[in-house]
Amino acid sequence: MTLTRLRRYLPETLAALLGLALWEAATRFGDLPPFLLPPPETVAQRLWETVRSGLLWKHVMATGTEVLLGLALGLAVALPLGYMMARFPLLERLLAPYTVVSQALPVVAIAPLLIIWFGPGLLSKVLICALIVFFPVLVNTVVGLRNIPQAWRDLLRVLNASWWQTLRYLEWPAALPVLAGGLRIGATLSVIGAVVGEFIAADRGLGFLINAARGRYDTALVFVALLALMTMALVLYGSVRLLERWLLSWQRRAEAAVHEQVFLFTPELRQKYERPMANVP
Amino acid sequence: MAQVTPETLVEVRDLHLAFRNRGEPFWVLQGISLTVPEGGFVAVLGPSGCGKSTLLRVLAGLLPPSWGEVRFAGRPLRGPHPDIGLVFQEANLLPWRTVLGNIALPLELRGLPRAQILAQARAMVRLIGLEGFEHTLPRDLSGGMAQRVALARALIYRPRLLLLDEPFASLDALTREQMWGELLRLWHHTRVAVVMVTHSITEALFLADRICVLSPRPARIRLCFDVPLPRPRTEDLRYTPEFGALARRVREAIGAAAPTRADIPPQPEHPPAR
Repeated sequence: MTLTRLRRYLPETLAALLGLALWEAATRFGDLPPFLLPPPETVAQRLWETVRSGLLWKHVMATGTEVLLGLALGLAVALPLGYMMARFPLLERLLAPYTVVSQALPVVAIAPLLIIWFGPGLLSKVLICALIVFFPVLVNTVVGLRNIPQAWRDLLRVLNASWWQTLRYLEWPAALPVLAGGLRIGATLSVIGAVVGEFIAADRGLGFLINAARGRYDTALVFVALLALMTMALVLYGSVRLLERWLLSWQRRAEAAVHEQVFLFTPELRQKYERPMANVP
Repeated sequence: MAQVTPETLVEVRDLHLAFRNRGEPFWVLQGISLTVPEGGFVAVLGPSGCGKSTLLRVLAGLLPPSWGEVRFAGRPLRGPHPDIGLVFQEANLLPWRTVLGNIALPLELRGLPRAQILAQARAMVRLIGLEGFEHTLPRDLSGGMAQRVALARALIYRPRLLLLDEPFASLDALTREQMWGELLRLWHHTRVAVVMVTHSITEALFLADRICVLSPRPARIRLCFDVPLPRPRTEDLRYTPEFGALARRVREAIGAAAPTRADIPPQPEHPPAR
């Protein structure tokens, strides 16, 4: 079972092992000081220490809380606002100056301002995450709702559906694939927002840990924090994909690409499969 | 003003429809008048793009007339009506709902009790002969099956008027002819009045009691006539010489009735006061 799975992901596994080997070789034969590139075993040892002392967990929890709260807040604002904007084009135009500016301005650049206003604690990080999540989710909501075919809308109108029923029976399920795309982008961006906020001012979190370790030239700890961040991003991304697959199970098969592969027969195989042909005079 | 008799279900009087195009009217329908009796079958025959679908959208209450009037069951039609069903050109099924879910949708929107919805939807599935496909998703249905589901969805709430917008146009010829029989069976079974839009003379003749022929856009009624064919109609009917002769006469009548430039009356400039 495990072996067959391993064989299935053979190219991926090989590529990962190759990277690890290169890293090991570079530290062993490259004559690099450990503060530039610590060998894998030092990083592994540091990882074990930080896990055991609970240090890593504390920072993972801090960043995780910011990411999830920020994502939730961004969604909670962007989804209803996107719905209203798709429904009332005038509202879209009224809000255009703000949405366009919020898109044009890198959120990273607004982050210091948010920290001045809301302090170096949890709130400012959540706001940074929410702000960075906000725009892609908003755009996807508007696009997803606008692209619902007129014929489906006509159907719901002929059936005398209320606006709430239209939302529940048509707009939500029909826009869901596009919404899920927004959520996927938002989840990734939320991690960026949290780390950026922690870089600027914080007393905990993986961004803070990276900053602190860098100051002490504890490069192995930087690697540990990066590993943790990577794992967190992967878990988050994976959960969104799982949610997507569950919500959009109806379109799974339609999504699957059709691979055309011609069966080329060897002479022996051909003998096995070829049907005896009737003699044609 | 004509008296609306009890048997008249739909009365369209002097219906005009123009869309707004940079402040100017863009004419689609001009002076359409027709009536549909309770339980009758009227086919609206016209070339592609003549505004047939727009006419159906007005009859469904989705578009208000620019002027003129549509009366349904003796009252002016003001928007979608719970006794009117509409079947679209493509089956227009919701892809995330199963066959049963699509058929049940109208009843769910009416908030009926769950058990009743399920019972009625299952009965409908039986009526259209799709037992065993209750939990199939639309993408796994053939065109004919999907269109049968669409018919079932429009009939499940027992409308008095069924509007069909070229429902079989996207099907292959064999399936289409099979669906004609299916539709006639459902029509006999439910006694619903039907207005069907089509560009096929054979389809209109085989199915309808009465045919109204539209001109190219802006659509006007060129002629209306009753179909002198007995019911019940079976497939054999289409191969009789009478049917062929009738189809030919209709074809010629459409050609002969083509208005010349001088026939087209000037378009009214102002809508009359309502």
